[in-house]
This record gives sequence, C-alpha cells and structure tokens, in this order.
Amino acid sequence: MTPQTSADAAVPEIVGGRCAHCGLVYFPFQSYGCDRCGTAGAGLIELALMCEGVLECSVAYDPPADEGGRVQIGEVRLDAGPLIRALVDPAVRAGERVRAAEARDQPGGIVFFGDGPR
Amino acid sequence: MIASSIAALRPVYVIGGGWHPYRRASDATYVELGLTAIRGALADAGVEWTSVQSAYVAHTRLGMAAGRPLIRHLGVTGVPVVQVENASASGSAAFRQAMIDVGSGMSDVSVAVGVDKPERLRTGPERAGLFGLIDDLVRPVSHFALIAERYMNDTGATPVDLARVAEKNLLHASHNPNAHRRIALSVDEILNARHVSGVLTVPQCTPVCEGAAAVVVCSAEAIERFGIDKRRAIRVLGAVAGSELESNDLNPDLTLSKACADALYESTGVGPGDVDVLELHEAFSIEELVYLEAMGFVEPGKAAPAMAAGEFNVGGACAVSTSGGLIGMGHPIGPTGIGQIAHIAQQLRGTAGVVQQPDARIGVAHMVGVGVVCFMHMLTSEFNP
Repeated sequence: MTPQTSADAAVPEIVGGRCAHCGLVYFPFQSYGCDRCGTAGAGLIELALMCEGVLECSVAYDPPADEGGRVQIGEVRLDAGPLIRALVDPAVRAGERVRAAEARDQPGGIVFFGDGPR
Repeated sequence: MIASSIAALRPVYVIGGGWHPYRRASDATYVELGLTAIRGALADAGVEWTSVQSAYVAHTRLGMAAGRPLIRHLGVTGVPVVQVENASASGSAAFRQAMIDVGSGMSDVSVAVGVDKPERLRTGPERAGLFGLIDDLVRPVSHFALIAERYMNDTGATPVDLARVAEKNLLHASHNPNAHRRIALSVDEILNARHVSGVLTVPQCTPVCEGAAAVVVCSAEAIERFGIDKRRAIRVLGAVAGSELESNDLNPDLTLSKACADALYESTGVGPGDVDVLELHEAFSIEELVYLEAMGFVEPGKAAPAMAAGEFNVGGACAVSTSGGLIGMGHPIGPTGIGQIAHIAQQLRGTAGVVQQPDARIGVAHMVGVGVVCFMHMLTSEFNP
C-alpha cells in the first residue's frame, strides 16, 4: 500500500478508517464491515492517519537470499490508535517516539525514524 | 462465541492412529502418503475399511476434491467423504467433524485423515483485498519474532529460554520415527544456527513438510461389536472451537487460545493441573511459552523458568510436545492436528516409548490456524486402571 502524502503535510499519512457507530479506528481502510460491531458501507469512513506514534517493538528479518537483504520490521502504535507494522530504523528502540519519512523505494513506501532531530 | 459443549453427543473414542512419516517434499504422491496413514490407523484400531461409515480428509494444498482419489484405493464402499480446510488447524477440524459424526449417531466408525504436500499458496486473508504496509515481509516467522520480542521485554526471558523449547522438542523428535527432524541439538547449537527473524533461528522454526496422519474414532457400541480392547480406546472428553475474538489485534492467537482453554476446562471440569500430556501449536519456539501461560499451565511470565526447571519435560508436571511438536515433528499442515491426537492416544495407552509420560491419563491437543481459528481436544484413558 502506498501512503498518501498531502502537499502541506510534514508527515506521511496512510488511509485508515473510522466506524461511525462504535468509533473503532482501524488500518487499512475497508468497507466490508467493522471488525468490532459489524457496521458496514457508509457507516465506515475513510480517515487519514498521520504516521507518527510510538515504536512498541522491532525485529531484524533476514529474507531468503533471493528476496533482498536484512530489514527491520517494527510495530508502531499510531497516535490515532491502530497498531501497524512497517519498516523502521534499526537505531530506534522500543518505547521511543517515531515519525515516518517517505521511502518510495522501500516496501510500504515509508520508514519510521526516531522523532528527534536527524 | 466459543463452541465448547459436547454434552449432547454420545461418548466417542479414538481407537487407532497411523502416520506416513513427516519429511521434506518428495516425488511421492499425496495418495501414497495418505493411504499409508489410513492403513496404519485401521491396523492399529483392528477394524476393516469396510466398517468405516464416514471419512474427513484434511488438507490445505491439494486442490479440489482430493479425498475420493485417496480413499478409492481402500476399496469401494460408497462411504461419504468430506474435505476439510482450516489452515494449520485443518486436521484438528477434521477430527472434530469425525467426532461429531460418531457422537451424533450418524456413524459408528469414522476416519479423519490429514495429508499435504508443500506448496506456496495465497491464503484467504491475502485474497480478501486488504493490505498492510509490509505484508510480504511479515511472514509468520516475523509475526512470532515480534511476539518473542515483546515477551522478552515484558518478562525478562532470554534467547536461551526460547532455545530451550526447541532443545526439548528436538530431543523428543529424535525418538519419533515419524518426525521430520530426528537430530537432537544443544541450546548453543540452536542459538548459533542461521538467523531468520528477531531471536529466532532455523531450529526454532517448524519445517513445513509433507506427510500424513490418520485416526479412527468410534462409538461405545462399535467397541463392543468389534471386540476392541477397551484399554486401547481413548475417550474424547472435551472439544472446543472458536475464531478470532478481538479487532485491531495483531496477535489474536493468544487471546483466542486463552478463551478456548477456559471453555475446555469449564466444559470438562478438568483443569490444566490435571493434564498429563499436552501437544501445542508451537510452530515457533516462543509459541510454546506464551500458549502455556495463556492456557493456564503456568502463571503469566513464568513459563521460561518453569521450562528451565523441567516442569514440561517427560516426568515433569505436564509433558509438553512429546511427539516433537511442530518444531521437531514438522508441520505438514493438513495432518498436523490429527497427528497430535494419534500421539496423545499413544501416551494415554502407555505405548509412547522413550517419551512416555508416567501414568498419563489426560491429554490435550491445541492448534491455531490462520484466520484466526483455534481448536482444542481433551482425551482420557477412561478404561485404564
């Protein structure tokens, strides 16, 4: 999934959703039906999710040799609520705040870095 | 809603089990694998194929209608045959259907067989059209490596603690002629093996392989009719099935396993402290630790020290994955859950050999599958002294 970035947004956004009935915020967007309450169709509203939050944990993954080199896979709790998986900077530690930067040549199109100066 | 009551069913017994050894993919056809397992189970049960009134065939990668081309070679009887697919829990689901078939009175004797050949397929969730950012990278191994990372952060467990799971299960597998991996490894050898993801190395990950397993189940009336030695008849005491409970949860297996275990204990009146042998879905070493906690075999956060103290070894409080588990036995997928049942039956008959848990009377089998689904069965040797 390619993240969407608005021209004036400093942080990439991804398209999630919100259930108008129960308030569940989720990623990725779908209108099949709410995972929590079953509301479908128009009751599920697209919601841009800012790609910033807290890195909960990450691991180094070595794919099969013909599929590229080592990558760092992280679980990021977005400030908007959902827990997503994405590539992360190996230097970031669990518990640290992170913010995504565009990386069009990488799987997912973004990489999360520490939220401090860089 | 977790389905847990079998009170409406008449008693059902496992009377035979058989395998085709689990192994790397070969040129053998699935028919050859499946027939070996079914014939083994029938011989173990002491009943003829002509007595079987229904057959449930578990597989995930054999395509449409794989059952009939398999069972036709046992002799034409016109027996109803149903294919069952439920990802890693396919075999468990097939066993459940065979049990229900006999328990309801529709059949007196039923066979559940699992058979599979390795092949990469797209799963239902992959075909649902919903994509995360890096789904191609988050294969099961990284999913469970992330769980391992969280577990170690939360509990203080170490990579050595995880490696001990593989050490134990590979030791068990080294005694099992039907296991894929039959070489015991030390903790050091496991830790120094090729890295895959997080702290997980190759020996801590199940080998997906080919193989087959089958069990024969029957009613009490059939036991009498066929003159079967009751001490070899293992009763199904409990059966639980459920599917994912929580939304927005990247790790639903644990929540679901806990709910299913609670339902199993409530429906049978038998708690984890009474269970002598346990076969778990430990496709990755971390799974054994977290499922032991989720299912109440040990307090949360205490599985690693209990493992180190030998509580889950043969002779311990509960012998876990004595077949070798998925790490040692291998994971052909369709057969896996049925192989668990057949092995527990060996334990409860007292015929498990080197890995025999002394005085084993109660056994539990647990499988989860992509979806997420969970199946548990509790067995008991009700006729043994």
